[in-house]
Amino acid sequence: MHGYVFQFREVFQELPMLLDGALTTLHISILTLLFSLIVGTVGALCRMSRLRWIRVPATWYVEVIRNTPLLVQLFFIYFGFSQINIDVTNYTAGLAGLVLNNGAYLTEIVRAGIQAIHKGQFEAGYSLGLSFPQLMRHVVFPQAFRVVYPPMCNQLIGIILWSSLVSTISVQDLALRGKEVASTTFRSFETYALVTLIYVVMTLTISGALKLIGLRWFRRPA
Amino acid sequence: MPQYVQDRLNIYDALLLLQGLGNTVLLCVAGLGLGLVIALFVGLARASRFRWLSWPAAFYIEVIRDSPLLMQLYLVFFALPLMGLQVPILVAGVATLMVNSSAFMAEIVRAGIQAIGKDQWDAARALGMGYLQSMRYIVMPQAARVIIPPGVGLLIGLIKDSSVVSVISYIELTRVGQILTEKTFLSFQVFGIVAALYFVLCYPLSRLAVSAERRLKVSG
Repeated sequence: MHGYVFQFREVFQELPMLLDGALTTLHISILTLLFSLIVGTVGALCRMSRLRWIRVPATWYVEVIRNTPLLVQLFFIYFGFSQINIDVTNYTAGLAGLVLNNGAYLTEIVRAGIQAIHKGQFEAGYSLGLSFPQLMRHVVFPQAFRVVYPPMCNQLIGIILWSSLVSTISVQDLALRGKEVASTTFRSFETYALVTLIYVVMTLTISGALKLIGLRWFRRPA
Repeated sequence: MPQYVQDRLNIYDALLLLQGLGNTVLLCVAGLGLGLVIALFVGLARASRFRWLSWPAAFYIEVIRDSPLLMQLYLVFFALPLMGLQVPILVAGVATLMVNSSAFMAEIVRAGIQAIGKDQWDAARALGMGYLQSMRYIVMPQAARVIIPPGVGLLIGLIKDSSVVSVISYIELTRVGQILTEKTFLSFQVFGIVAALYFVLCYPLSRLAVSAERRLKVSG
């Protein structure tokens, strides 16, 4: 390694700051998932609508978002807001960008979940005299959620990793804290190695926990 | 286009956007091409019966899939000088995309190889073929049908993910967008155009991925 001596000591001293950043990362990721679930549910219902003027815009929303980079979407929202003089915090802009992006992916996930439900369930619900919202609330969503749960967990892991991009619009998440620590300690490689390790530990722990929760409560009926 | 946009965005800016688009394509083609070579080895190692081959491969794949691309980019960017390599940022960008895509591609390659039944291997052996020959003439041609649709999906992902390389100031499409925004303050318009250019690259590929999946579907 060209005579380079690795020094992790100064970097470890900044660990509290990095963990504070990790908390922000978790915070923004969980909020993103919750809001994206709402967007995704509405989006899925729109995409399956019989009305063209509802279905077509929803389809284009999904296609446009899935075929353009998250970073560009974040810049579009962040710099766009300031261009039209809407004053939002960096955190809000970052969250809005992440929700806009993940809402499209959740739309597809929720749609697949609803479509996995047998036609007989809808017919049974209607024959019991349920209205459309009642049918969704009591028959479709509880069953669809079991189908949606595993891909939704994968999506959360993706959100945690890709939320690192909000550091480019100055949200003080783990990635940005890492950048700050790298510039104060002059130990860039060591810092980013530690930050990467924190990300790996975080995603492995969370995906393991979610898998256990899924096995316990949201197992798909055979 | 409205007059005030035309006044601030001129033909040279359009050329810069095209150059950025070209550099994005360059990043992705180089990254995926080199990544594919690594992925073949890692994927074969991952599918191997030998633990001393499959475990390191699994570790490599897991760490890359469970860490952000942005961190991988920073690590490569700062590690190369430590190894005494003074290289242009293009190389750091390509190296990162290569490492990143190789991990995802390795899993796709593994799935492709494992989708081929054991009887195919047995038949190849009965014909007197060795491991490499069976792989080359029997397994890979069939595995390709399983590999191609998600492979195209990976390429779409890579085109989008290459935007991250803009943070180390390589002049690709997203970086051009930032430069033009700083110059003209027309962020909506500039990033709208940038997004449209990415869309033009990715949308045909995603249609291709859908139709490839339908056409190459392995029957039975």
